[in-house]
Amino acid sequence: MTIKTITTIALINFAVVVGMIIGWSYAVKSNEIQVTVQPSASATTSAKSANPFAGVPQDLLPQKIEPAPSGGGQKPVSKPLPTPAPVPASGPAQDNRCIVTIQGKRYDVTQLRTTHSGGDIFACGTDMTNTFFGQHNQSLLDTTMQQYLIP
Amino acid sequence: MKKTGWFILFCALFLTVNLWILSKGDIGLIKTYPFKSLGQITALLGTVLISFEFFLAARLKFMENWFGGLDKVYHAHRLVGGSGFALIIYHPLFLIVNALPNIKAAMNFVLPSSILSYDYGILAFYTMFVLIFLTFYVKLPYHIWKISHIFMGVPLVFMLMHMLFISSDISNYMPLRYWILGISFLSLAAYIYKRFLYTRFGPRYEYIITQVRQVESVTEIVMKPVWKKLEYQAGQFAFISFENKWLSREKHPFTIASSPDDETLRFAIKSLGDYTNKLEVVRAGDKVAVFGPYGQFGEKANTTLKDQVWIAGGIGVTPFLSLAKYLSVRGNTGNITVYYCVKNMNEAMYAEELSRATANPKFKILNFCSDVDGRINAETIVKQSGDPKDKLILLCGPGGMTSALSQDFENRYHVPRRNIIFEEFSFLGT
Ligand SMILES: Cc1cc2nc3c(=O)[nH]c(=O)nc-3n(C[C@H](O)[C@H](O)[C@H](O)COP(=O)(O)OP(=O)(O)OC[C@H]3O[C@@H](n4cnc5c(N)ncnc54)[C@H](O)[C@@H]3O)c2cc1C
Ligand code: HEM
Repeated sequence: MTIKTITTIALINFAVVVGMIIGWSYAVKSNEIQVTVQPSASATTSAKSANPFAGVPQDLLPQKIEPAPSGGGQKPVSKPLPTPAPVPASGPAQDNRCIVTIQGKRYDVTQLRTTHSGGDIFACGTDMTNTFFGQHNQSLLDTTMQQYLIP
Repeated sequence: MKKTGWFILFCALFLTVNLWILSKGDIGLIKTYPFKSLGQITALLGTVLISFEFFLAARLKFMENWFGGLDKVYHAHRLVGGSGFALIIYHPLFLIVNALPNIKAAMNFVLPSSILSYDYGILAFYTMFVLIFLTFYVKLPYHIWKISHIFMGVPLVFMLMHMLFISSDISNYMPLRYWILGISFLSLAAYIYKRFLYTRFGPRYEYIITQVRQVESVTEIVMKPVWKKLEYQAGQFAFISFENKWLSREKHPFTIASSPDDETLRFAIKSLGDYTNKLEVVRAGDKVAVFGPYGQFGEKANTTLKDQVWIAGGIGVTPFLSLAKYLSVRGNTGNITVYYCVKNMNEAMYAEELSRATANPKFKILNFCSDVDGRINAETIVKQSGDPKDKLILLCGPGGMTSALSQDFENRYHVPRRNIIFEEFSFLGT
């Protein structure tokens, strides 16, 4: 196998994955529009309408059950915590907050959406434990993130 | 073929993997976040390979020694560049998979966003993609491709910015951080040397043309030093650039066809493309910048007492002109049989010169015309000059001929690979 073949295979893999997620993000966007034109959909929770997966049938979304890291270091515990995604309606229908779940606790990241150095990557109303620990560690959760914790 | 260079590269990769594992306080994390881990390790190994790539491109003397000649260095450059880029492709790919199903987070690895540290990575990736695409998938004329390739410095700078600003586990573990940033900055230094300093401060010698001879499609150019003479071994080559208003200053590699004992340098250049077709405009009195010497084609032939078989195809005769002149006068050598392979005798412009070497009884010259004798093959050579197993075999000529013959000698006649020495007349491979 030549080096050109190896590079070509890698590029094809890249094109396929990127093609799929671009397609997916378009599908999600068009679904979001449908959601906003149907006022009844916002009756559940406005957090859900900001969720990029809102309107996509749950069984079409990849389900991820993650081992939740325990305190101090990022040691995974053997028993995965239940994944409460999406977060059920908790307030009045006009609630504009963006709430995500990390390690079973709920955080209001509405403000963080504009200031987060990693950009507005929040999928409101979902469990983002995996995404969070994909980039950060426990100490960030125990310190900076505490201000967003919903008691 | 020397293996030191590959061994050093392997050690660098091995060290990187180990430092990365050490950077994880807890090894279980690699299993817990497999895609994130794959995204990290592909990035680290890809960065090491690409950094090495710049050392390979800087025409450094020690690299030649590590790989056994500049043509082998460029061969390594092709492999390392391709595989380094292939690994880098998987870096964002695994991070995308890791981010799913969060599409917004995944898209941050594909399109520029407001996160500068990610954007540098994305820019590095796409600029490198374009340049590799031009190398592998578009057939550009060499000199145009070369201009595009010079821009490889751009993704390197973006890559460095990406690594400096990104915050991740890797940036927190100092030994890994210093190692990766260290070799990346060194590769930037290698790039700056090759791009901006080499022409003035590299191994440069000033020559002036004394004689130009045109025979059919070959231009023979003889030149003498203006100041200092270039010291070289028989069989080496140099990059030359002519100061002539009708010619561009680009540097092309040509084998030195004179003997190291000669005061003058001689090159025999066949018209094969844009640049070599224009060489008839060079005149006696033109200045030439000669960069070199490079290559290790003649190294063993110059020192061994073994019997040797030399096979020259067409203009591939040039290193043998140098070796024959040098060794027939100087060396205590074994018996040397030279096959000079051409299409017909009109093309054999150096047959007479080579036959002068037979003043030394150890030399035997055999002219081989493909029009009359067919294609030369290992069987014919073995029939005429005996069992090749303990001989040193040197091959220089068109890629197809040298690779077919060397495979035959190795597989059918069990000549050890280290005793088969060949030179490619192209850095892009055949
Ligand atoms: C180690 C070595 C020794 C050589 N010795 C001789 C020799 O003694 N006599 C001789 O006639 N030819 C020799 N060549 C080949 C010579 O360098 C090319 O034929 C020449 O550079 C072609 O340039 P062009 O623009 O006329 O042809 P193009 O058609 O532009 O190029 C033909 C091929 O030559 C190579 N090439 C072109 N330009 C360059 C460059 N600037 N640097 C590196 N490679 C280039 C590329 O592989 C390209 O595909 C040698 C090549 C190498 C690598
Ligand atoms: C990540 C990939 C690569 C990087 C970063 C890279 C980088 C470079 C650099 C910086 C140079 C020196 C340019 C100069 O200043 O003169 C160079 C030269 C060269 N590269 Fe690459 N390269 C890569 C891949 C490749 C590949 C895949 C090939 C071939 C298939 C290739 C073939 C060459 C050749 C032939 C030269 C020599 C040009 C000369 O010095 O005359 N490179 N490369």
